[in-house]
Amino acid sequence: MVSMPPPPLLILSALVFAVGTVVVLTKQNVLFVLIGVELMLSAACFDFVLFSSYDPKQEGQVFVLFFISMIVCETAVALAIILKVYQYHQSIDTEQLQQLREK
Amino acid sequence: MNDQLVLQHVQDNLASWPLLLPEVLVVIAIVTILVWSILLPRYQHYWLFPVALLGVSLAWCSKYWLGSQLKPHQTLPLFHQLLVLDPLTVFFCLLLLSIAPFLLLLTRPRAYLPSRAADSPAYVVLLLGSLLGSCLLVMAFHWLTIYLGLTLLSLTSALLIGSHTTLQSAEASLKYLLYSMTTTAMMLWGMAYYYGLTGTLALSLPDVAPSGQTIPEYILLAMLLLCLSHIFFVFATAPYHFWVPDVYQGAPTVVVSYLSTVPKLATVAVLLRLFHQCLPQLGPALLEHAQQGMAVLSLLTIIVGNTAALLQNNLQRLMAYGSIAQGGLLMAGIATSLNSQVCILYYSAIYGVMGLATWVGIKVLQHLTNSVHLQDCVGLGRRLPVLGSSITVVILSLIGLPPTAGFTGKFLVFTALWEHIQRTGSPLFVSLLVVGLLGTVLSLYYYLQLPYVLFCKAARLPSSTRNVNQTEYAILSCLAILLLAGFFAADSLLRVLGNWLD
Amino acid sequence: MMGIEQIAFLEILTFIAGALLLVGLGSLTSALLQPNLPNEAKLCTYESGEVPTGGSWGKFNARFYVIAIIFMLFEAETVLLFPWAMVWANPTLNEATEGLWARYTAMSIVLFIVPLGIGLAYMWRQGHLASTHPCPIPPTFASKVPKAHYEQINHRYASTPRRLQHIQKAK
Repeated sequence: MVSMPPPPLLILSALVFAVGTVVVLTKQNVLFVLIGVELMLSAACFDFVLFSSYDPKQEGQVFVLFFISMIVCETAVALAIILKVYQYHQSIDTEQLQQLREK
Repeated sequence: MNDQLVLQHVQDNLASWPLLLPEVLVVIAIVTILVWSILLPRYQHYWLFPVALLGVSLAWCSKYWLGSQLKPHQTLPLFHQLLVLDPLTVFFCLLLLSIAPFLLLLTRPRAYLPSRAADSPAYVVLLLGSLLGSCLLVMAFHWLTIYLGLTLLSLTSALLIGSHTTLQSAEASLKYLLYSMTTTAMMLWGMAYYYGLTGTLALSLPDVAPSGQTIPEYILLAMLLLCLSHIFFVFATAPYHFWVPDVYQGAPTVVVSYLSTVPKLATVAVLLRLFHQCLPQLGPALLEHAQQGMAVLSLLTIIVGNTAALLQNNLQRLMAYGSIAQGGLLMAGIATSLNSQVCILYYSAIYGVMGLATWVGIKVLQHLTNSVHLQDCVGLGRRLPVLGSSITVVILSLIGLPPTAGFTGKFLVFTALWEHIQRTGSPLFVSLLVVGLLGTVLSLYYYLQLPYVLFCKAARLPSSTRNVNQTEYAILSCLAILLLAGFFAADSLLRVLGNWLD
Repeated sequence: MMGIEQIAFLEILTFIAGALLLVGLGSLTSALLQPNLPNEAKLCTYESGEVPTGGSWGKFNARFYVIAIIFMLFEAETVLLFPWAMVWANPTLNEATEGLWARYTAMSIVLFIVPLGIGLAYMWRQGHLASTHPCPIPPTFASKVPKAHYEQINHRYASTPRRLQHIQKAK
C-alpha cells in the first residue's frame, strides 16, 4: 500500500457503520432494522470509494456500481417480504414475530 | 489505455464465453421458462419441469465435457480472472448440478403443496437462479464474483423460503434475509479494508509480496474474518448459525433440502479455494493463523450444534442443529485439507447426499403423520419397513457408523486431523479431534431417537390412511442405497477422485 | 492540500451554508415576532378543509408497492447503464479494436437488458402490474329502526351545513 486515505474519512465511515450496527441491534421495527443495514452497507460503499482513489485500476469504483444495484435488489425483496409478513401478522415488530422458536 | 491491451482483453472475454457453457445453458433454461409462460401460460405443469430438468441435465453434460477436456492441474482463467475453471470447480459444479434434479422432482407433485406459488414458473426460475449463483460462486476467483454469487444465492434462497403462503414461511424468509443482509454488510466492510490493504480485489495477488510484510497481520486476519462472514452465514458456522433452526422449521421442506445442500457445498468450494490458492500468497504465518481460526470456529460449531440438538423435540429443529454439527466437522476438514483435498471432497459429496436424504425422509414422515414431532412417528417403521430401514441407514450415516458412507467420510476427516496433529503438534487441533469424537458420541443419542421411535415402540394411534408419495419414497430409497454404496465402494470412489484432481 | 475537484465542492458548500442561513434567519425572526396563542382548531390536522378523522400518522394503502418496487429496480439499473453509455461508442477504443469493442459491449448490454425486459413482461402477464381495486363488502346488518326515522332526522338538520353541525356537537 503506497498511501492511505485521510483518517478522518475512514473514521467517519467507521462511525456510520457503527451507528448502523447499533440500529440493527436495538430497533424493534423491522423497517428500522432495514435502515440500519442500509447504513452499514453505505459505510462499506464509502470505504470502497475511498480506497479506490489510490488504485490506478479503480477496481473499487467498479465494485461499488455492482454493489449499489445489488443493494437495491435486496432492499426491494426485503420490502416485499415485510409487506407479506404484515399481511399475515398485522405487525412488523420483531418482538411479536415469534412463531418460530424453541418450544 | 494501451490499444493492444484493449484488443487482447476483448478477445480474452470473447474466448471465455464457450467455457461458461453450462451456466449459459441454465440461463437459457430460465429465459425459456419465462418466455414460455408469458406466451403460453396454460398447461404449465406439463412443460415446466421437463424444461428445467432438460436445462440442468444439458448443463451437467456440458460441464462434464469441459472437465474431461481439462488437463490435470490445468487452471483456465475466464473473463480476465474473474472466474476460473479447474478440476475443483468441475467437481463441485457437477455435484451441485446432480443435486438439482432431485429438488425439481421433489417439487413436482403438485397435490402436496398447499399453495399455488410452489409450482409456478417463478419458483422454478428462482431455484435455477439460485443454482446458477452457487455455480458461479464455485467458479469465482475475484471478490466481486464471490460477492455477486453469494448475493444471487442468498436473495433467491430468501424468496424460495417465503414461497409458501403461510406466516411461518414469510417469517422465516424475513429472518433469513435480514441476517443475510447484515452479514453481507460485514463482508463488504471487510472486503473494502482487504482491498485497501492489498490494493486489489482479485484472489491472486500479483504484487502484494513487498507490502505484505508491512501490513500488520492481525488486521489482515480480522478483515479476512469479516470478509468470510457471509460465507460463514450461508454455511451456518457457529456465531452465524442462529437463523438455521428457525428457517429450517418455517421453510417448505423441499427448500430446506435445497438450503442444507447446494449453498453449503458452494461455500465449501470457496473456502477450499481461499485456503489453497489465496491465503498461501499472504505468507505461511498468516496461513497457519487462518487455519487455527478455522479450527476454533469449527470447534464452536460442533459444540453448539451437538448440545443444542440434544434438547430438541421437533424433528426439523433437531436435524437443523445436527446439520450445523456436521458442518463443523466439514470445516475442520477444510482447515486441515492443505495436503490432500480428496478426503474433503469425498466428505462434502457425502454431506450433500445425507442432507438431501434427511430432508426427503422428514418430508415423507411429515406427509404421513401430518406432524413434525418425534412422538407422532411412533411405530411407523413397523408398518412401512422399507421407509423405516432407509431412514435408519440415513441416520446411521449421519452419526458416522458403518456400513454407511458417513462412516468413511468421518473416518477420512479424523485421519486428516490426526495427520495434521502429528505434523504440527498443535493442542488446538488435539482438542478439535477430541471434541469431534465426543460430538459423535452425543449424536448417537439424539439421532438414534428416531429409529428407536420408528421401530421399537408399537403404534399408539390407528394407522393413518394417507398413502406414501411414490416419488419421494423412490428418491429416499435411492439415496439410502447410494449411502450404502459409498461405504462399500469407497476405495474405488476415492481413487477416481484422486485421479481427477492429481 | 486541495485539488481542483475539492475547490469545486466549495461552491456547493457555500450554497448549502447560504440556504441553511437564510432559512434559519427567516424562521428565527418569525419565531420572535409571532404571537403564540394555540387553540384546538389551530392545532388540529389540516386536511384541505375537510373535518379531520384522526391524526396524520395513519397507515397508508400500500396498493401500489409492486409498481414502486419495480420502479426502484429499474431506476437503479441506470447505475450500470450509465458507465456503459460512456464507453461503448468511444472512438479511440473502437479504432484500436476495429469495431470489436462496440460489438462486444453492445452484446453485453443486450444480455443485461433483455432478461430484465422478460422479467417485466412476466410480471405484466401474471397481472402484478394491475393496480388491485378495493372491493368493498356491502354491510349485511339489518337495522330495527325504520328508514323513515333517518330521513326525518336528515330533514331536520338539513338547514345547517355539516361543518357547523360538528362545531355544535363539540360545544
